[in-house]
Amino acid sequence: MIRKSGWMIVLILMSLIWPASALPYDESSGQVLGGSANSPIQIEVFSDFECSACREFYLGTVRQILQEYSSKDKVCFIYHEFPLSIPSHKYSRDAARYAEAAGKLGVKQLLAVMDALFMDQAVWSQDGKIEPSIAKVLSRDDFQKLKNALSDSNINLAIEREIDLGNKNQVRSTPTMFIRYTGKQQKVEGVVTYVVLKQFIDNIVK
Amino acid sequence: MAIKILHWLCRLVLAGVFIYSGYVKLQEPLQFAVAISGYKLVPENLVFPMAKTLPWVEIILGLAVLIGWKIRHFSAATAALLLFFIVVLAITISRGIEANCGCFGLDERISPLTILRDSLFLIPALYLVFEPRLTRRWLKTAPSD
Repeated sequence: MIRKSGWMIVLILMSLIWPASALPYDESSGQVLGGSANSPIQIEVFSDFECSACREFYLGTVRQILQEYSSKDKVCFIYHEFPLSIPSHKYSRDAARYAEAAGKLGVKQLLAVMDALFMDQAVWSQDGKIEPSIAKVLSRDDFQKLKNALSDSNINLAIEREIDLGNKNQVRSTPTMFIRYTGKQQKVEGVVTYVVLKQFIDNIVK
Repeated sequence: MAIKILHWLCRLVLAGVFIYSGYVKLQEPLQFAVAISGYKLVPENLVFPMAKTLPWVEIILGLAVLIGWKIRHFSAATAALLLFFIVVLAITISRGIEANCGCFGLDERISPLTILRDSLFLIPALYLVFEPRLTRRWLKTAPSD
């Protein structure tokens, strides 16, 4: 009798909890760092250039994922600016503007600027002098184009759109990732190491 | 009757906790992997396999307790797992690491309260393990008509 009731409770529980699945994600902004819309896995990250965890995630994980998976079109990586409005991140919006403007020049320039911003985070976050870090990694021509692009008001609008998108999707900290694959979506807060993310990706696309 | 109610209460609480906890982790294996990583106790290459396996272990244990199959053995296994969690939490807190618990979702930071909660879950598990002995003792001491 007791065992029979146990089975019935199990069946009721299973029917209640099993159909849950992730909601589709609203895709309307962001910069594609690698991969394409055809990639089986899409990763969107909301990040802040002045956040140390974002630096760790970008330099330790994102760059390797781009090299190993996005180059083979297995992972589409989309970057969203999400500069946090906190006193300790005084220059993160300025940095986001440089990255957004670099995106107008091309992915190569965008990645170079992102590398520079994260590598030199400790330097420019002291005094807000971002340009010297960027000038090092761009050609004179590209640097001039980037400076021209910065005056475009659309840059600020694009950042605002990305912040709105993050807020709409309950991004509360950086980095926050949304991973979509085979009709599922996962939200991940915090730093995912390369080894863990690689195992996760390999589990989906061999 | 009271013993039967207590028996079912313990089973439902224990099974509910384990099934729910396993289910939540199963929905977000990568987030759970990040939580495991945060404890800094497991080698990186074992983090994701553990994040994939542990939720299923919890669900199977919970279902077994609910169904009542080899209940003493499975209750002992849940108690052992809870003890393992308590030890891991205690080590992490004593090392001063501010990890995310990963117990029932994303938001919980580990604290002495987390240890207390897991210790409370031990009560139904241990009751089910020692139930025959305890009920024998209670029946012996109960006043007879």
